[in-house]
Amino acid sequence: MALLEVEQLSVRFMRRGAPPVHAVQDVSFSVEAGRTLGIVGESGSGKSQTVMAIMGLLPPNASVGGVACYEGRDVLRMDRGALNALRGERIAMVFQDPMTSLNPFLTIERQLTESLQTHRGLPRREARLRAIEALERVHIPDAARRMGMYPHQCSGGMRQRITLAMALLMKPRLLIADEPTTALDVTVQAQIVELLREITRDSGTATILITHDMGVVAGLCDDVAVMCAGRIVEQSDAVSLFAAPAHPRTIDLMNAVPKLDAFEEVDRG
Amino acid sequence: MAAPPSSSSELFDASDSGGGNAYDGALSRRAKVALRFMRNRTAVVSLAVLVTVVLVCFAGPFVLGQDPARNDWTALALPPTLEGGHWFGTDELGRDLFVRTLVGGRVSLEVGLLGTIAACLIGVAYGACAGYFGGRVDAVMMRIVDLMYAVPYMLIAILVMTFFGREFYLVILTISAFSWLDMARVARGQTLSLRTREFVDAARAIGVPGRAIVFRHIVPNLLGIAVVYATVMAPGVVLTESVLSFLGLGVQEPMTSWGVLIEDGAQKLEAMPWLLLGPAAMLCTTLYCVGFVGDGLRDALDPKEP
Amino acid sequence: MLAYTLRRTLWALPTMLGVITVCYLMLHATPGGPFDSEKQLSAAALANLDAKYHFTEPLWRQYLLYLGALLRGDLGASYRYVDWSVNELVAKALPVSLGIGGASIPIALVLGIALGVAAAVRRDRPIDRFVMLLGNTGNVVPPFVLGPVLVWVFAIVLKTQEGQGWLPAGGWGDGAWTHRVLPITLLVVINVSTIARVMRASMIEVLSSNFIRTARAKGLPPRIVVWRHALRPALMPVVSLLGAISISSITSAVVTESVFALPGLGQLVVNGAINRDYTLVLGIVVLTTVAAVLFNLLVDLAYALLDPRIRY
Repeated sequence: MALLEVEQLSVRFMRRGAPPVHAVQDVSFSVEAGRTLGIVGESGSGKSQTVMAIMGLLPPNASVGGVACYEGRDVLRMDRGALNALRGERIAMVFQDPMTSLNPFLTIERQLTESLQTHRGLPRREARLRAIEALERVHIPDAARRMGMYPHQCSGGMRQRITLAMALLMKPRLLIADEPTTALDVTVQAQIVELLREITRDSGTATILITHDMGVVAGLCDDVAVMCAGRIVEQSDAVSLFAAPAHPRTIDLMNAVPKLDAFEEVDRG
Repeated sequence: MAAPPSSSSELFDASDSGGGNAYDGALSRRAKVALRFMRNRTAVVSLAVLVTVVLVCFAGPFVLGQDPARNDWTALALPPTLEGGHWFGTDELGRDLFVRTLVGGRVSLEVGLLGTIAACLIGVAYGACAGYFGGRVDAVMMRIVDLMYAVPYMLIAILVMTFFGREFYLVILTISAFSWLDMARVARGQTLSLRTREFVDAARAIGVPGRAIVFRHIVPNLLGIAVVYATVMAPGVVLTESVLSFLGLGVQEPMTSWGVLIEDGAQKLEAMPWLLLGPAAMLCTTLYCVGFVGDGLRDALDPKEP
Repeated sequence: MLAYTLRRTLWALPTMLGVITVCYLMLHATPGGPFDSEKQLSAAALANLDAKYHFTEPLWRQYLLYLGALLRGDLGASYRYVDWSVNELVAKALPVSLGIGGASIPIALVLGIALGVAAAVRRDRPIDRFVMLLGNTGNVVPPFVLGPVLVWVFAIVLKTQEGQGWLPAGGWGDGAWTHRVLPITLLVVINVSTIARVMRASMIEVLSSNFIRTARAKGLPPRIVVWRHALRPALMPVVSLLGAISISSITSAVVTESVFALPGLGQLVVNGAINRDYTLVLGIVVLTTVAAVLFNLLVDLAYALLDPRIRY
């Protein structure tokens, strides 16, 4: 059985005095343990809304249909308590904007240790040690001192590493990364991609990686799903997809990646 | 391709956040704002009530033909009654409370209107200059504003009223002397963002002097936000006048205002509670309605999606 | 952090000086001195008064003498109550004002924050509608209307078996709690409505921010998300509101003391103005300005304490 099985997921946003917006329609995919699935598409294709639905982070005016089974249990129909037990512990998420996804009023230590204290009941001292370990694993220098700092004292790349450390601290079975590199400088992007690869290989965490950059997909993903206008238009393992992309959308996305050598575009046929 | 705008204000209006161009669709921006306002039932009803109150206060006493100072010796200290014409009751001297409330309303509304207008004019001009000229001028001007914020204005108002006399114009002057501060801050903020727009550069490029840019280009664009802010300010102005009157430091006899009437009513609560309730109800209704109209205007100018 | 504090403190001094100077000039430029309406005084009496109040000296000397006295903490002698110094009059009235105002602000804060948070967390439920209603009412029903209404309800309409009102209609009564309840309630209601409204709006905005999304994604229980993650950022506008409340509380105090006939600073200053008691009025203005400036300074410091981005 796959770790996560999503069947015919749909997300609609209800609006007052206007017809609802269909953000996601009839999306089905599955993630096997230890494998990385890349969900690609341009802005507005519904990639983020898909995973937000799975995590239960949609705004109140969202209406969700379909099934999303994590280890056999449908997360879309769980009550808050059960969902909170899963979130942060078994399924962790990393977001796009490192500048705003950390709480500017709390220290790094507080934000790292609270998951351990809440989910595992660890005492403060032990939680602190585990947190420092996690920071070191994402290659943050002088981790112990960094713990007492606030997010605004760290650079964007560092903050994204901290966010990653925060997600992986609990050793989740599934990591969802929503455009983790989009808001970063190109050089930093490469570092984060490398870090992701290293970590997921080492820990065997299954990953869903959302991005619009095919270059990142090529580097990291075992399987790929291409989304457009709320639907999945093409889905297969990465090797086959890159060898012979079928859908025009897929081809467009691949052509959007600047290449050093090729001058001709892939024939749409 | 859209037709070129006939005036810079329409296309680059600072309060336009709806995106798109002023010539979208068949309606001008002003018409759209008006329509959005009309759709807000609370705002429209409040506006209607407000207009009614104003009309009744200014025209009512003429129509009713009653004199607020007239003593009806046959109807002393009457609670409100429908027949007999004393709708709000009478006081211990037989004066009809309804007419007195209307006449008092004239004063309260006049102070409110004139005070707000004065404060708006000063505030907008001050804020626009500070925002446009920037640098040291701005720093000094805003420091003065900060200084004035720290002054306990109620005490100063009390001082002015007791030492310089309780003339009508002094009341307005004192109140607007402190109410313009918020407006200045708001105007300055808007000006700072307007300053970077192209039409300012264009005006400067053809050599329009700074002062003219401020008054001919920037200020007209501030009108939208000024009007909205005025509705926020107006209740405060009316309230301040009422407080001063309540303390016995507002308008002089024989002029009366809602504050004076309320104070009178508060004194005679045990015997004649209606003396308080009539004017208080008028005051509260007016303030309430101004608030809703202001909210409606703000929503109409800057709609947020649900 | 230290530089920030020093800078703010430094600005406070010219502010206070400016206000004091303006008031001083205004008082001495007005027609009608305090002794004008009195009957003609003998030369000896006049000489005595002059020695005490220095009013034959040129204005600038009087001003400097006054400032000097201020620095020593001496607010001067009352013009009207000849045997009393301003310090003594103020000392008598201060406990009354503090006993009412001082008690109401913490209550209003705690209540306002609690209501605001509750309304934001349970949007569109009954508590939210209640807070919105309270906010609108507090805005619209002025204290000088609400006060008499409270008096009417609790002191006139509701009566005990002996025929007395439930609560006294006014007066200080040496600070008995029965005399304090209504004025404190009035002040609390006035402030709670604003605080709750601002807290609610601020909390709603903070709850839709990205770092709250992160906190939820970590599976933290709602309690922790609200109180540990959302509260501190959301409190910032409320803190700046406190600064404004400190100024408006002067007005509220004046009105409340008038409605409930309390012998506090508000009454003192109004009567002082009517009686042309220069030193008394000036003294109270000085005091309140200093208090307001200090309070605003505290508010600025609170900002820095709450928000680490300012501190570092």
